[in-house]
Amino acid sequence: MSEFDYQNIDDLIHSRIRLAIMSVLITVDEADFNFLKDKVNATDGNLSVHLKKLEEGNYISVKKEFIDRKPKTLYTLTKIGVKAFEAYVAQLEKLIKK
Amino acid sequence: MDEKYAVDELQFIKKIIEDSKRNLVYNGREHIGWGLLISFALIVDYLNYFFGWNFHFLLYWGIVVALGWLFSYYSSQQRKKENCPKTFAGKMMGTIWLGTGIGMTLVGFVGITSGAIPGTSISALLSVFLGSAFLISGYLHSEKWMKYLSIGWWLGAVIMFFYPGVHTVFIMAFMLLFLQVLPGVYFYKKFKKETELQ
Repeated sequence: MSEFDYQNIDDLIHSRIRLAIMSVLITVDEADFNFLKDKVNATDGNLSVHLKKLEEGNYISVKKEFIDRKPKTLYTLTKIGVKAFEAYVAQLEKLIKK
Repeated sequence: MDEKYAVDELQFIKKIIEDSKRNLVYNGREHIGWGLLISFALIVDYLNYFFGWNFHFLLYWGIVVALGWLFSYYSSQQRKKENCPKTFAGKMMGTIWLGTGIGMTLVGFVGITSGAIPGTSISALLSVFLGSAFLISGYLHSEKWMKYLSIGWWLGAVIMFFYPGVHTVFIMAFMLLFLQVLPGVYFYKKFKKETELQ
């Protein structure tokens, strides 16, 4: 029997936009909202909703700061998020090897 | 979820990661800025010696180095505004060059004013610092040619240690232009090209 189990697939990452956000954040230490918007190619509203879901799942952490009196929201992948991303990729690789 | 979907998903992740990496290219601004500033200041310092203008050493270099650090501060603020994400490698680079810069400032000012280091050997000593910083930077940027620049810096240091004198000011200015400003221009062009691709 194969080791692959579809029930192990992480629903929180198993969405194109959230997977894209996680993929961007795995590359960098910290990225702001506009950078993510540009990379993920999403609208403000759509991106906010998905970022909120990832934040609620403790996959990302949020930090707010001011640069030149303008607010900037910075996002970082948490340790839980990194583990979840690695597990998700491992699941995909397992499926291909099946 | 089938095999084809998994392959598509992995390709999607790869594409996103490669695209994000484009923003991580160093812009080379500080190499160009510091390199031009110090090489120009060295030439003026040589003219000062040659024509006997009698600049106050500490005041002159104090102003030059303060201008350099002001430029570094401006550059870091610009980078924050440019929507560039923070990376571990980027933080490492910043720390290495900050440490090297502080070390060079200390050697230049404290070393000479205390009399521990003769003024004619200062360029050679600073070349040793720069060689080390370029070696580590080359590794972090994954640019093999950059590691060879460190050999250039160290060779220059050996020559300047063996043949100290006022002429080392010219050697140092020449090395700064070719071993620091030119690599900075390379990085700046690469940065422009990568950001235009987005």
